[in-house]
Amino acid sequence: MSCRIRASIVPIQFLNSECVEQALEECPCPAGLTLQRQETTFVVNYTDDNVGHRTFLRDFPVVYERKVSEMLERLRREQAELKEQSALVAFAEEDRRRKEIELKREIKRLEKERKAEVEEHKKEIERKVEIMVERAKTAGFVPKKEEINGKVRIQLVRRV
Amino acid sequence: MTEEISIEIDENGEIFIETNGIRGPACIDQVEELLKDLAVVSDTNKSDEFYMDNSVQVARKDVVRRSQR
Repeated sequence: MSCRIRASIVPIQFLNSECVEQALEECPCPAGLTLQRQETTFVVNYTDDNVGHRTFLRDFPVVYERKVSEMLERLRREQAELKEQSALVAFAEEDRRRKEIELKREIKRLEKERKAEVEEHKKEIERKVEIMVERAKTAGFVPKKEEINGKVRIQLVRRV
Repeated sequence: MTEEISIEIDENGEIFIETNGIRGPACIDQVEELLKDLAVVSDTNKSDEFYMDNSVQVARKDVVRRSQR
């Protein structure tokens, strides 16, 4: 064996502007890389070997994911508290209903965004794996690709 | 002789790569070529063979230098 390498295909598209903002505040890129807004999506792409950029690309999605989880948790807690409060205090029925609908809508939107992000990341992984295989073929390797339990395994062999 | 690279990618995009039969720094160069602009490398673990091959090269250069004197 010659070497072992760990790497990751990082998510590059993020949908929630509030969480993007919060994550950027907590985890700014030390080398100045930032996200670009494309309609409703925030995209970060990379083309260099800058260590600061690499660190940011690896850390930002983790912080963003945590921010989304925290936001969802907060909204669900508010939802639960609203139910408790309305049972105890004489909460104006109309206000309660309005708030309930608002929270439900917000939770649904966040869950939908998260699902879309996961799907997009899956597509991105598939696309990049195909590029990897094509590069290997160009370098003279014979690829053998298989999928086991959601994992993709690629065996590349080259005679020298 | 054959050179082998095993790549495993999980559903989150985490990649684990192991090379076999590619000597010296060429193994890292080869893997970096495959991953360029596609993934972020977080850890590189070189085996004894990696360093052994390098030391063989250094020793050879040393022998050449000495014989030139």
